[in-house]
Amino acid sequence: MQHARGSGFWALARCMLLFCLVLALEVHAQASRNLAPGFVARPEASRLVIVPADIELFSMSGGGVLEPRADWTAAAERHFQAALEAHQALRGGSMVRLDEKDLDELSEVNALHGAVAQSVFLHHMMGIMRLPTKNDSLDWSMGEGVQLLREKTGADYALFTWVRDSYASAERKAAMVAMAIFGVGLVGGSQIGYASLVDLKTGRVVWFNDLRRASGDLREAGNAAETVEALLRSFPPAR
Amino acid sequence: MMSRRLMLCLTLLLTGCASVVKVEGEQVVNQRLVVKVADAWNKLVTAGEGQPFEAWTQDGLMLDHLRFWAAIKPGQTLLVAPSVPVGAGRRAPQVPTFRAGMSADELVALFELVYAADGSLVTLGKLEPVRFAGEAAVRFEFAVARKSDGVQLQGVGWVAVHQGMLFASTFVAPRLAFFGRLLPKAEAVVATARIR
Amino acid sequence: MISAARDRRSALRSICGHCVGMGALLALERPSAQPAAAPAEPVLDAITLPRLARPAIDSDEGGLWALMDREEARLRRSPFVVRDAALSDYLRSIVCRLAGDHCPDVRVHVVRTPVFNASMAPNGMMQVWTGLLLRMDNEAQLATVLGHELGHYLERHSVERLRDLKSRAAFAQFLGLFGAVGSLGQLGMLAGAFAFSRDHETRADSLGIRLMQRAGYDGQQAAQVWDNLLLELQVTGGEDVGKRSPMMATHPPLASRRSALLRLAGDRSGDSGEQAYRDAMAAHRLTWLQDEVRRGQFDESLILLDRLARRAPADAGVLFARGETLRLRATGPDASRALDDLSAAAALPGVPPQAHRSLGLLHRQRGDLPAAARAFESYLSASPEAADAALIRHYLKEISP
Repeated sequence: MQHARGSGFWALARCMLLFCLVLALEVHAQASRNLAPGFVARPEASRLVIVPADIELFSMSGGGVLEPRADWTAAAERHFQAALEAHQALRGGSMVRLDEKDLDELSEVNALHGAVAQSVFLHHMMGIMRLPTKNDSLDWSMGEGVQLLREKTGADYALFTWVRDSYASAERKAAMVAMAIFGVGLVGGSQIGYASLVDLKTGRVVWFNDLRRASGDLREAGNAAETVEALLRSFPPAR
Repeated sequence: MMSRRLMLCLTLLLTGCASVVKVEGEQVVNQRLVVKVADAWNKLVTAGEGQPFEAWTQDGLMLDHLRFWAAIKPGQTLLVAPSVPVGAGRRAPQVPTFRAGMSADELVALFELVYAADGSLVTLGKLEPVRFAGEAAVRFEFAVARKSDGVQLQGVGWVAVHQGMLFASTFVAPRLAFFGRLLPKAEAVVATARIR
Repeated sequence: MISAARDRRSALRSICGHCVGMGALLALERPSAQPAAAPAEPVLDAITLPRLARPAIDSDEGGLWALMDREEARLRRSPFVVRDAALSDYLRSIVCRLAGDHCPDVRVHVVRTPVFNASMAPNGMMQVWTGLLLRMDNEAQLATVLGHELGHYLERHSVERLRDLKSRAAFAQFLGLFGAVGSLGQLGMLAGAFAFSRDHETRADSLGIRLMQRAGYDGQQAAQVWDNLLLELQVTGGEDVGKRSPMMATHPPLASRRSALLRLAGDRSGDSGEQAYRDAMAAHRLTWLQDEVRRGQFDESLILLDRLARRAPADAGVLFARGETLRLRATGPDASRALDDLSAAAALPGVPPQAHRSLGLLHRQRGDLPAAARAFESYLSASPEAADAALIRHYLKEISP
């Protein structure tokens, strides 16, 4: 691909460098930024549906190519789901499970939520492209768009999660050390993701947290629990 | 799922090329189209060569947008297409270009191309003559199935020609909940449009 | 080391893949003095391979497989999939004729995009885009493409490609992190990175022809498919058609393809299935013709529409589409050629109402207002609930107030 060289390549390199910087800032959850105005907690008797997590794990080869790893992803999905269900903050109220195949019927609301989450991620959490009319508050709603999800599950709230993770292989780690000698910082693998809590009566996103970091490991159960912990930091309990 | 659209946004802002400003009160697009904004919107500003339209939004460009084209001259395109490498001796793919003497239906067809440029599926709906910006115009409704993430969008547009130049506006938002809720805000702005 | 063992296994697999392919090629190139009764085939043969088992989850192939499973779930939920049982059944029947024992492993998805493309993922997910269906003249030509894709699948070429990718650069990395690419412009660029090798292409061609002929199709139709596609793409000039078409990018056009395919097909006769194909596509053709016009790539569209019109001179849908394209391009003598096409369409049985609309708009552009009014009236009486009825009535009022 000859055209990858030239101005496009350097723009991309610059971009990646900045991305690394952004990643380096581990964003700590601030109560006001993660919560919609006026929302504090879920009622004790509320029902929560956990939408199947959208997870993808990659291995990064020496040359920086991402290779999808089904074994890691399958393991991560299991560990992640278990960690979610066991998480203290999610307890209280009752939980409703939704299976992957149920998503066929709910594809439109799921796709819509994906677009909403991207907007929140970009315009609210990243801190660089804020929308002035939002007044720095978490103010997004899917309105009556959540009706089908509410009816199908009978739940009051829905938790959506999304994670993309890449891990440096042994060759990659070696390459990182080698390049560091020349003063070039290579991305070694990174984890980005979000968790979003939607009130199914109003369609409002009432809580949102994102993760952007160069650490974390979803492949092992213990570490996966740590990722869930980071993702659900400040998750509003039910009381 | 994160789409290429998000990637482009991230790349734009990370290389310091884009920012968002609040727009309210009287606004002028390309020095020729004046609108009055009672309820504030957010305007995307890109440094350097951008698109031939202004893009405003309420909830973010991955969700809704309100676009304005003002004083587009014959021969100008309505969209700067994503760059596809063009080798020597080849013609670039055709991009929606405004021409003199276009009829109402041809003007609408241009916008069909604008929204189908990224491979999205566009279906035209109602077409009717109206007034826009004080001129005889056509209003058109359309649906878009977005290629990048499969989100189904609803859209409405207005296009007029004044002194041989094109003036237009489109508003697009997800058909589930968003379009119905935000349309009145968009229409409120569009109704105030005047050509200077 | 785990990675070394993996490399050994994968090396063995790709060598075996080559063996199979070579065997198939050798069988075909053996000159045959006898007529149609086929000589015995070599024992090691992709056609007679047992069904492909799901690869181990920790292998790189397993990773690709699972990614494809996820893509397939997304595809199933996409608004771009054509959900028509009759069409799906028809395509499945062709695939099963070709794939034999492998039939249960293949799932066909029709995707509404006005571009010539088909692909098959290692997990058995086959995609056929409506742009391709519009461009096929008959069942045998469709079988050419499906057979070719089955060839890649049976010999696991996609996995070999993935291994090739390890040496590519950062661009794929970034995009890989954020999921599948959506836009066609990007697809063309990226598809180049996923291109099959010359070797893969040759093997898929030969295996495809053999599958076709075993199923009773006319192998001679194969050469026609690629010729037609190249003709369309070359209208934009330049040699590198690969960058413009995802199909050509993943399947690099081989200079000798035409002669090689004809040679592979030999003298054996077979079905072309023209009528069966036409019947199966009938319900969708007008929609796909309109999708093609809507691309706004008029020069390319006219190459296609000229070819379709030559094959079916009395097809009102094709004449309407070509007339409309000429009307929109409006360069040089286009307007009068458009008039010829649209008037001809309007006089044929089965004329789509939109043809009257286009004719009316054309007459109006040319200043022939009485003719415009007549055409608009025909449109409104054929389609009174048309979405643009208000605009057309407005035009009528302007003509006769």
